[in-house]
Amino acid sequence: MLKKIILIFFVCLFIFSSCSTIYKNRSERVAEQVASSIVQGDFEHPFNSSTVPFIFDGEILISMSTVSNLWKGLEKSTFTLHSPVITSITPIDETDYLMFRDSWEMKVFFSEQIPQYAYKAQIEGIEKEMLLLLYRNDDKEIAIMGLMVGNK
Amino acid sequence: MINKFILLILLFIPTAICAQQSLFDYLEGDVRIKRSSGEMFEASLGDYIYIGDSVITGYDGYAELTLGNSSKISIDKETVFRYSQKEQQKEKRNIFLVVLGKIGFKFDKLLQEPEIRTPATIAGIRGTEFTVITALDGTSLFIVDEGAVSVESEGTMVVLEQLEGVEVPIGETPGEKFDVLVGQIDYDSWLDENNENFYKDPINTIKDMTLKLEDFVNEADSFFMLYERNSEDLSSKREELKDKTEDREDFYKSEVFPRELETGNNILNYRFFALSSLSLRRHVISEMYVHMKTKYLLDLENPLYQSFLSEYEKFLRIYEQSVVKYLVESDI
Repeated sequence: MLKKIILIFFVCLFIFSSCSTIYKNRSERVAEQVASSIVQGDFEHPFNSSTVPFIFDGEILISMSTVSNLWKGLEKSTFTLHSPVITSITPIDETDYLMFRDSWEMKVFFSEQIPQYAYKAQIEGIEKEMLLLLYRNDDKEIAIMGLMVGNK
Repeated sequence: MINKFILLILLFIPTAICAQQSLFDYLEGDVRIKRSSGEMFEASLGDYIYIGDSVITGYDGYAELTLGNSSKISIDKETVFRYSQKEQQKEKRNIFLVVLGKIGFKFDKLLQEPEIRTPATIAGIRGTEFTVITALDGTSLFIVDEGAVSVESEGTMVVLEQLEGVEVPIGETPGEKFDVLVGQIDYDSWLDENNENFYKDPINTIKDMTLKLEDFVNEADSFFMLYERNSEDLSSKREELKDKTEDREDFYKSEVFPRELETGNNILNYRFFALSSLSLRRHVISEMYVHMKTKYLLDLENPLYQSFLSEYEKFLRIYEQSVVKYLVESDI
């Protein structure tokens, strides 16, 4: 009986860690695609992968219209990443709200609304850098739920 | 304790307004409902919205709602609409808040006519068909097709009759009424033009929004003070009730129950102003920030952007210090 329990425990652990690895790898691929799209000046692709609520700096955007304006604004600004490299991809945790804004609502958002299999991907270019928040949506696709851009 | 009380009120509200619930009967493009419970999802035909809910349409969104009997609400693209409630003169009044964008209203024989609000105005209606638009700079436009609408801002009221319109900049009294020829108003151009006002003068626009936020905070604070006073009074009456051996029911009806109602109304009102502040912050200020940050992304030290940031931080400081205390996690 004990052997069975141990076996079930390890099977569950294996499945869980496999899921985490799969979604982490898929998130990394999405981050690479976003970086590549930005280099090519294609901002429609990241917009199409975006979802709401969407975190942008200290803002929680809940209208797709504002998210659309965000990507269009980035395109208009001629923002780009030169030689982008994904420097890290790690699970989002509750304290990550501090990177966006040290506020009650950001804290609530990160503790209540970050779904399972959510990752933050750090992408660095020569002068600019970008942080993407990615998660597995209901269709089991990787979607963008947050962004921070700035100078290095 | 306050949070538990608020939770009870929030749970109670949806069942209490069944008589005036709204149903989606036409949808196009991106239309989302944000429930007062915090849940957000894409709207489907037949969905209801309840007091405390918001409807948010994307750049290709359009929705029509039937309210109660045959009244209609049409919500255009890029619009934020909140269905709210507030106590006025001892009665609960439904309030439709047009935070941003364009909404058409056609009211017909409602049990109780709602109040229409924009960040700049309060409008009372009398059996009517009209359109309300709110631009990013806070300016509102009212156009009446049928019936009459009284539009109030900064203590001044104008009454619009059929085929009349008025424009109200935020923080100002209503402008001159003007006549409207059917089909003459190009709503999209009006909206573009007034959104452009923000792009031309972002600093003064965000300052106007901060003044409006301060108005909301003052209202929320005064209702919260009333709530605290009435709540203390209610506690002492409840204590008295515990000691009563005779006429408990009469005492409850005459002394406790009215205070329970009043305390509940105080919560409804301070929450109304806190949620109005949240709408301003979430939809208007966010849109402004996105525009400014992306515009100056390659020139973040630009003095105009830095001035905007300083006003933006001022707005957020007031919001975080004075509004957040009235919010609950599900509001986020």
